[in-house]
This record gives sequence, structure tokens and C-alpha cells, in this order.
Amino acid sequence: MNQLIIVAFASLQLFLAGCSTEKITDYQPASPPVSERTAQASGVEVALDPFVDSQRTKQYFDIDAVAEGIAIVHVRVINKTADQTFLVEKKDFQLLPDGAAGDLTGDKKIERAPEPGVGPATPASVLFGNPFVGSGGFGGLWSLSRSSKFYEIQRNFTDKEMADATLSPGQSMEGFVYFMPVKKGEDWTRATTIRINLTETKTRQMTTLNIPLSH
Amino acid sequence: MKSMRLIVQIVFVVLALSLTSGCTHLKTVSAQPTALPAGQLLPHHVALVLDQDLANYKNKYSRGEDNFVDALGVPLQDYARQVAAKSFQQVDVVPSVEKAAALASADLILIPQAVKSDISIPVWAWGNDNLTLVVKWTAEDRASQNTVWLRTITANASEPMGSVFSANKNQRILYQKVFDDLSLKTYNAFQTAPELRGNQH
Repeated sequence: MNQLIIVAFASLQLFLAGCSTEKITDYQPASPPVSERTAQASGVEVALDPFVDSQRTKQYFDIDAVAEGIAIVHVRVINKTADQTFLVEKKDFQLLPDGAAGDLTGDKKIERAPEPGVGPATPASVLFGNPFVGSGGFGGLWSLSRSSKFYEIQRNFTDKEMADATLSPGQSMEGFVYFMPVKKGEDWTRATTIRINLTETKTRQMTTLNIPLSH
Repeated sequence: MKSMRLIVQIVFVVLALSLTSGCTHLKTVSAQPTALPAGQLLPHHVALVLDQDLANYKNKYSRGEDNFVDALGVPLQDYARQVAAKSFQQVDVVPSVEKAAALASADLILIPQAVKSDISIPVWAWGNDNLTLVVKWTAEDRASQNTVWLRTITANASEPMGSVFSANKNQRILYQKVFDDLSLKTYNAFQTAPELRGNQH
């Protein structure tokens, strides 16, 4: 009987091992950010830092985003004008693969990832699917720990996402923008361009920047 | 001896069933108004749009087989009213953008929109619940309906999950903290926006 209890207790420990959900590391930009690509137009500078290294995505997002087909780009926007305000919205960022920058008919565009937490195609749920399906008995404990991690990864994606904002003269902003799907396990920056449309709030004039990501 | 073995087996079966049976828990969240610092009242008559989308916003998540639905509409509306009233000279609450556009005395239309919320829940009682709530504010010139100012506010809060005896109280604290963070960040965003300081757009 004692043996049974010991075995049961030991099994429980195994199921619960690794269940803690630590907060994921805050992003610290490399100094100097050697992987940044920059462009400037109408007094606005945009710097893009694509995450193509799996280790880097694991460090800041706790997943291998490259293997999962999620493109992560750190974006920094600086308004260097003295009297213009620009609308900076994630919906105006487009990933154009395979030389599509010269052919902007729309059929080669990759959509920005849907907002995390909305619908089934969020970055984290794409990775894990429904963590509860098929679980049962002690498998339930196992999936419970997975669900904790699942939700922290999803929350971390949301927390690090770039805000939509008006950028006043002299101000800067930064954050992450996510695109999916891209080819899993490959360098998705090869022959890829990011197109960004910025609208000046008073004149409604639009400025477009095309920033090649390829090395 | 046989009865002990039977008891152990029953306990395991009950534990297994409790982990697989799921249900949905509905809860209405409440939060107290946040103490905001004294600042200037911005020179605008604002039509604040509190629409059905905001009123119906819910934070939905799962734990194990259980689903949780936390209704945030009331505290979101209260937060929006409080921050707007503390920031602008005059605020009229309207239920839609159309009603706001028809309010001829207002010069700005202010639209808060709950974008998303994510919560991560630890397995252990001593671990922290982490909550992120994102609200987008848009200020439009009423006459032209062009966007003059926009800001997505991301609020965060952490609180130990607590035991079966303290979990409800701790989650109330968690939501209070996130609304405090949201209110202060929103208020500061209004106060520091050059686009909202003047009355010319």
C-alpha cells in the first residue's frame, strides 16, 4: 500500500514538473543594433530589426517563431519634423515577399498577424492549437501547465506589440509587429520588403517607405 | 487494506474527473475610480462615444477544462468617463459616432475601443496572474471627422493567484490594478499630446 502511495505521489510530481509560468524577458535592443535596416522620407525615420534568429525569438517570446512561421519585426519610428504629426498604425505595415515591392498588385502581400486573443489564428494559438483537446485524467494536469505557458506567451505577444499612435514632432515610438504566415524554418527576410504607409494628420498626405530586409 | 486501496483509487478517479469536466464561469468585474493627479483641462468640448462594443467587452480565457468570461463593460465605461472628465473642459457622453457627429457644440469626437485582453494564470497558488488590457483611443475633429490624435494604451498588472480562499479577492485586486494602470497611462497620454492642447486641428 505504501509503495502504491509513493508511486502515485512520484507520478504526480512528474506531471507537475515545469509548471511554473515565469514572465518572459523584456526586450533589450542590441547596442548598436547591427541587424537594423533604416529608411527615411518626409522627415520620418523608420528602423526595422527582423528577428530571424531562433534563439532571439525564444529569448523574448519563449517560442521558436522562425520554426513556427511567424515573422517578428522590431519597429522604431522617429518623427524628425518640426511641425508635422503622422499616423502610425500596424495595419499600414505590409510584408512583401520575393521581390513583390516592384509588383504591388496585392496578390503577393502577407497579412499582418491577427490581433492576439481574437479568433483562432492568433500567433500563440497557431503554435499550440487548443491545449485542452484530448486531455484527460492526469493528462489534464499536463495540459494545465501547458495552458499556463500558452497564455503567458500570448499575453507577452500582446504586451510587446507596437501601439497604434499619432507621432508628434520630435517624438519616437517603438514596438513589435508580427506577420504570418511565412515559410517555416527559413530565413523569411530573403528578398523581402516591408512597405509602410504613414499619413500626415493635417494634410492627409501619405508617405510610403519600402524597406528591403534582405542582407 | 483493500478498503484503503479502494479509497486511493476513488480519490484519483475524482481528481481525474474534476480535471476533465468543464463549465463556463461568468463574472461582472468592478473597479473603483483611480486617483488621478491634478492637471490642466484641455480646451475642448468632447463628444465621448461609449458604444455597445465597449459595453459588451469581455475578457475570455480558459483554465483546464473550464472557461471564464469576465464582463469588463461597466469598469471600461467608468474609466473612459472619469479620464475624459478629468482631461477635457466639457464632456458629453453619446452612444455612437453618428450621435457624436450630430452634436454641433462639440469640437472633438473621442472614441475608446477595447482592443484585446490576455491573462496568464499560474498552476500554483503562489504564482502570479498576469493581465494585459489594450484600449485604443481615437480623437477625431467633429467637423471633418479626420483623426487628429490616436493612441493605443497597453495596461499591465500582476497579482498572486492565491488559494481557493483568496483567489476571488486577488483577482479583484488584479483588475483594480490594471484599471489603475490604464487610467494613469491614458490620462498622461491626453496631457502630453500636443495635438490636444490647442483648439485648432
